[in-house]
Amino acid sequence: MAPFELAADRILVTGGSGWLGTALLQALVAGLPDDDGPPTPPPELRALLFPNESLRLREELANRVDVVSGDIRSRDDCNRLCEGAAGSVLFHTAGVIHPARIRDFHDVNVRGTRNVLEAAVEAGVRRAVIVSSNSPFGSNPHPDHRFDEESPYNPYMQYGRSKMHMEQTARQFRDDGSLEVVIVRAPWFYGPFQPARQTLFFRMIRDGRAPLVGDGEWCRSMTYVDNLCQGLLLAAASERAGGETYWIADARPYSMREVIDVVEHLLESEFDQCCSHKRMRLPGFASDVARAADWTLQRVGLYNQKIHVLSEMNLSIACSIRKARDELGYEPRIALEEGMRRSLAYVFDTQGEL
Amino acid sequence: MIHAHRDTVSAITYSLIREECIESDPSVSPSNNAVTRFVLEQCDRMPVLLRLPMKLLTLVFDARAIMTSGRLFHRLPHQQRWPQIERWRESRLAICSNFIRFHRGLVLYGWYAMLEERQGEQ
Amino acid sequence: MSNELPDRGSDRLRAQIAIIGSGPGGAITANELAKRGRDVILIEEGPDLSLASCVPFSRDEMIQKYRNGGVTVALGTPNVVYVEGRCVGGGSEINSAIYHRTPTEILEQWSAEFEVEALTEADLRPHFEACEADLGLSRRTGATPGASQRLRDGASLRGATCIEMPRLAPPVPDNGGLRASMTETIVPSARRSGCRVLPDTRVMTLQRHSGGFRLDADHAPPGGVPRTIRIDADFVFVCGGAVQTPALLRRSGFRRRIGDTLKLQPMIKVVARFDSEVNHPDMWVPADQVGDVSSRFSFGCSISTRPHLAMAMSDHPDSARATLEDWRRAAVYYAISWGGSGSVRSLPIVNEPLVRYRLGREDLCNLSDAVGELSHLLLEAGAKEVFPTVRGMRAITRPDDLTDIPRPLPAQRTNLSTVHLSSSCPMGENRARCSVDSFGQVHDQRGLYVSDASILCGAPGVNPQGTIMAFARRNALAFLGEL
Repeated sequence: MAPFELAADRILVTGGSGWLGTALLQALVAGLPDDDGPPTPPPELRALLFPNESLRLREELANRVDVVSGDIRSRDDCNRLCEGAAGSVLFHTAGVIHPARIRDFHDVNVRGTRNVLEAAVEAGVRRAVIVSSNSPFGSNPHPDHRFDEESPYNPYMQYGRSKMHMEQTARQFRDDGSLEVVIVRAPWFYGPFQPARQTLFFRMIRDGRAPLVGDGEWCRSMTYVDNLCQGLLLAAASERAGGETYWIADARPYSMREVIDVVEHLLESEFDQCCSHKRMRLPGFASDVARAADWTLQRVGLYNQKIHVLSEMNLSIACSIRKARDELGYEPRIALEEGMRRSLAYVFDTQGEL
Repeated sequence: MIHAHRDTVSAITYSLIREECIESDPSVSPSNNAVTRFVLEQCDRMPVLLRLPMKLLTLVFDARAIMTSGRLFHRLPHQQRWPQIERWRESRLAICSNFIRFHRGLVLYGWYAMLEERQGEQ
Repeated sequence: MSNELPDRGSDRLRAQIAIIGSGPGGAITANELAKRGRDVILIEEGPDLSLASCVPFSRDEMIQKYRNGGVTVALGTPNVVYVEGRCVGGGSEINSAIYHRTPTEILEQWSAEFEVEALTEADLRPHFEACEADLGLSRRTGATPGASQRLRDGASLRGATCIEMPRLAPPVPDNGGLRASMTETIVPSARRSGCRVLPDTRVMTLQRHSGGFRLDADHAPPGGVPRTIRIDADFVFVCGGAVQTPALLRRSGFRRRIGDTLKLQPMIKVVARFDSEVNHPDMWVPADQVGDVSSRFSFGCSISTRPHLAMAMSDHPDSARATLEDWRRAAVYYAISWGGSGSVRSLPIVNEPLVRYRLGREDLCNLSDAVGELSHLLLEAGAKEVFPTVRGMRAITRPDDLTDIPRPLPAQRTNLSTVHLSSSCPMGENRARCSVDSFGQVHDQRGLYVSDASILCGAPGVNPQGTIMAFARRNALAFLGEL
């Protein structure tokens, strides 16, 4: 694939030390792994990093990125990110998924986004690409249903509501004409740079504690991180994308059973792991119970990641990428097996063991 | 519950398309959700005298699946939904067969109309 | 009080003559009156759209211009799905535009049974001619479509006559999809003569007021704020069609003999599959017809695009996919009969019409014979399979199968539709049977007129637009004292 033409001298990225932010910066500096090269012409890169965090790129790549230390909850910090960046493209990847406190959902995902976009407008940024999620849409009403860009909001709890409000906030900027906004919705992403919780998931599979709820027919759309970066770059480069929303994911959704089987097979055949080949089979209502507990906890301002994850396991959360294919020319190049192979390779390379 | 009507229409639409509509070029196939939206909009355009009974009947159709499969119709996978659609289609009760005929007519009309619209654009 | 239209800020309007409904009846009435200097306002419930706003017979047309998206039903056993236009120009914007003058024998029958004055063929001839000149008639200039050729061949083999009827359409090549609709012809003419056109306005009630009439209407312009407006007029012509006219009159308290005698021409469709191509995308609705008012039914080719083929195969799901994949070798045909009787009432609170229709055993026998004869004709013309819209019927593949067609058709499983409704407010001096007099004035209601398909004494046995237009012109001139 030809290098992207982003038509901007400068690229801004929030969440530069995050998982997606890191993968995106790497793509902007060095191009996507399966591509012909980085974007042309090579833009100046500036990333906003949370205080006390640093870029997770290799040194020769990190040197290409100007770092601004700050928090999107601070309007001043956002201003510093956007200073002098007229005509640039901004990728907003910063956000919180598993917060310490419930109120962080709104503070970071909604208020933080508003700060970023207001600062972008003031500085004359041309286009903002906002990373959203499947959570404003809840779960598919039936197992074979696929969300599309016109599916109605049905936010799943606080995270979902905060991302829904984030999207609505972004659309206000689009509607008043002050900024080109593209919203990219990415379901569960996976791949190199992934956080510890994904590593935990691999460990559970190896040790036979991977939960399989019901008969596993429920499907999840997942997005290999480089596929997502391709989608983000296309959303920035494509002229017709301004004002639009796109789902970006792997070519098809996967059942939980399939995900666990593929990871287990790779662990054994390519990474020398001894798998116990067990599954923690839970009846469908286990997820329903977890969902009730999740709801109760969130209502009182608390959050438990494991309960939350279990609560989603008997739900189908799958989307259609037809619009991105048709309008952006998006074509996911990595599928589950290769994606998990690269994820596992990253884990073993960086940690030595699971 | 609030969305049971909408979700049931979606489930019926997806199943009908899967069984009855095949287009050899998937890049022009209409989107299932677009056809579902068309069916729902048509239901909303119906006269009140027909609209309310149709919505009620849709909820009955949804709930009926609990007796055979333990779950609402719209929560079932396609393989378990299709037999209920066929049973109602073949039913000797006119209200059941007309219900399926109504949806089938709209789904197929909408799907083929959108297919021709997409082919006309290409 | 103002003559300004609501979008300029006024909620009260005044006109000498208010015409409710802008289909052929209302539009022609408005045009004739406005041409002669009368102060006319033409009120239309639907939107003001050009003919070119959508492809003919498309999904867009159904959404934009059909009442209730095309899902309107006359309740009965069987139910009959009907279609009404809801837009400036009414049914003329969405129909096949096939044109017939009223058959002379029908005029004679109506004159006698309903005691209608001045309704001979000679009386009506000038009005037919004037409407034909104003709109233009044409026949196709290209080759006969395959599906029509099969109809012709079959008719010939069965000893029947197939004629290409003229259409109300401009005489240009490939005009099959175009219509000389009201928005293309009569409405612009009326506007040029000073007629005001008020779309997006539904008249809820009309009452006597100060020697004239007061209309209360809901005005809902697209993108604007809906509100109630009031229109005062000395005379009112109600031209909403065979369903909306009696519904409006009845909810306004005018009930005597209103809406009691609805007639429709029930239509049953069949899909025929051939072993060579008969169908192509621009075939539209060919104007070839077999049979006339002297037979019990008539046949023709219906719109046969893939979406319509799919709908017509609703009763044969096992064969639908193969038929659609091979759609160029399939076409939809119709058989139209007449018979039965129904009523129109207005439902309180929701203010929607309740339409009921009853077909008797003899009517269902007629329809069975129609299916049989049409199927036979198509088999003779080379059809391999014929699928009638009757649930549970097998395909007809050879003449022996014709004896399997149930007679009468089973009411619970037969799927009928109609595009021709009429006679809910019949005209004539026979007060026991008629709602309006020989020239359309509601009996005992001075100044209140009806001028649309409602006043036809019975089903005309042919496409009714020619009749509706000629009657409207005649009655408008009678109103002006110029007849």
